[in-house]
Amino acid sequence: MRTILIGILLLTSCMMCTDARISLEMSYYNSDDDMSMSLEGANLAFDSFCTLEPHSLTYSNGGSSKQPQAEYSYSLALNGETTFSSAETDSGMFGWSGNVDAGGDLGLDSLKVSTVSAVKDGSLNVAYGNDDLKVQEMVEAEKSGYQQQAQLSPNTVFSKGSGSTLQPVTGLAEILLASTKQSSFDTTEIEDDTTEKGEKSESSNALKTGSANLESSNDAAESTTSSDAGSNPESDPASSESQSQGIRYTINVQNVPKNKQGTIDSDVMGRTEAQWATQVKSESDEYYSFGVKTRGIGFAPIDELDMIGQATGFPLQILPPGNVKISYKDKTDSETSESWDPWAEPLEKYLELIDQQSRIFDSTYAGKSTPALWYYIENVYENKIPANIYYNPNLKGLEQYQLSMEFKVSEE
Amino acid sequence: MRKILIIMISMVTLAGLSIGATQTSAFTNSFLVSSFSEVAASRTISESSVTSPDLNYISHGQVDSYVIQPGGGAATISQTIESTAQNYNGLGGGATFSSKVTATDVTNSYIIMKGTSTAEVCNKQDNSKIKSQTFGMGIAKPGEGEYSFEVNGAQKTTSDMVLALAPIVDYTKLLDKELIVAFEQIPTEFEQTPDILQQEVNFNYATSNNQPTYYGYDFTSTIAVDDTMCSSSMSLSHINY
Repeated sequence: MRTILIGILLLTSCMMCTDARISLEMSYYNSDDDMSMSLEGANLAFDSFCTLEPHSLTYSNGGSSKQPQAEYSYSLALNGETTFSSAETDSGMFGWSGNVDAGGDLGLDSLKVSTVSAVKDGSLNVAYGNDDLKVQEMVEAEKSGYQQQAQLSPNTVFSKGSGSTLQPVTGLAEILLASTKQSSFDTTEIEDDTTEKGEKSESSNALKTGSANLESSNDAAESTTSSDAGSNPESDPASSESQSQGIRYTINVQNVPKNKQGTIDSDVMGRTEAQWATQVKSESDEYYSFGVKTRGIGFAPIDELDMIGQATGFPLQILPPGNVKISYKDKTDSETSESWDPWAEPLEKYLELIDQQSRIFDSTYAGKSTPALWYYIENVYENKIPANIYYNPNLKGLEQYQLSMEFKVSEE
Repeated sequence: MRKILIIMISMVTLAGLSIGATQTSAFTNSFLVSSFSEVAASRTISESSVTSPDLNYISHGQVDSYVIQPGGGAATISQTIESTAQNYNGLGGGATFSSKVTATDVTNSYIIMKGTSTAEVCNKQDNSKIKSQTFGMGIAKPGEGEYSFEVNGAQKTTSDMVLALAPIVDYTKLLDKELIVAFEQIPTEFEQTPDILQQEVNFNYATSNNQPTYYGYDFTSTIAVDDTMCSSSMSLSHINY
């Protein structure tokens, strides 16, 4: 065996921390490459494995926690390029894994980090990214769950998250069912959730799979709009007051080289059943995107329902985009039933309206206006045929009949 | 003999169920193309009514859209108002409003949509007539450059022409008032002029006996500033049950 093994360093670390903080730094290098790892955290399990040769370096590690109060902050660097991730939760879980493969026969260096984190009825703060893009997500979930996954490399960031409220809102399913039967309101989207629940039940539990994405939020967390959830409106009289649930979510993305940042705040809280989907995508330093999508149904008024976005050099984006106002006004004397004659010739009235509106428009938007273009269509139906329905005792009969007769005569 | 009897009973029953039913649907569109303007604004108004011997329903809709383009910019504003009114199953009606604005060099944009409706019992008695009316109007401020502005509309009225008393489900004080339903956009102001702005709002509501039974809107917005583009949308449906 001509190959001479100059040196192999095999290091395996494994530790489990419970109610304890740890701080760990590792660095390995050979003549071609150098890498480093740092970890700080509490209440987590961690292990790592490294194979170091003169011209190759292989490293893998990972950690996780399902402790109620847990956090970690992790970075992994190869030849000066860094990826990082961190998470902190009081009612959730997180995990990560990192891999470094440098040198070797092909000379291809790679650094990859995968993370996953989730929260159920609590708070979760996660951060991840690389030297170009830094992402931070903050979640406050009340009777709701949210989970996200991220894949990182020195040049790319991909992240998807999904969430949903966890409890059906008392009485909502019954009203949906009734409105579906009795009205023509478009509840297609909500119905889809309900009817497809059976098909999606396996993949829709975000805390298990996290397969949601921004384009197909149908795959988001388990739908709570189901009408077969077994809820009984009468079983918990206090539930209607205590059923506020939802998620307050913030994502901040920083583009380090360009010194730009953007933020989306999404708050949904109230007697509602809702779903969320989030996504971050950065395929190169030339392009990245991030977004949040939420949808739901609930009893009005929903206490919090808004989404606000801002970015460097960009105007504030606010949803809802406006307000709907409903009011009643007493009719003026000229509009009352006593004076209103619907059969009168209306042309004069409309000519007056055209003149009035033109003047108002001109005063509102100073300057030259187009002439008012208008039309008037009138249909009058006059019933000249009596529609009396009465019984006629002198009805004549109408009969439909068929007869047949056959004679056969044979000459003998 | 038995079949004839059944047919006769059915005819009498169907005749008894017939009511004076008239439905009017109408729309008004306006479309403004402005090549160079510091302010581009457009207003569309549509009024629709149906009147039968016992019932009268009037709906009035108005859409205003404007963009401010201090340095002069191009803009297209399309607006649509669709309204329906019917006098069966109570006094009912509704309206759909739509505004789509595409503009360049915008520092401010604003959309407001307002619908009013009244439902009442007519005092005028003419037991042989049902009348529907539709009025549409558009006016615009296109700026100093070349422009194109057009308005079109249509109306469709159907009636079963069997005049009888239409049911008034709940005649309350509300019927003596004018119902006002409005969507008012939060004005969008820009410190840095976007390269392109495209915003569309579709707003609609429905009424029964002069009470709103439904309202909702779809909003989409696409704004580009330098290398950043933001697309946002929101749909809301509110059902009174």
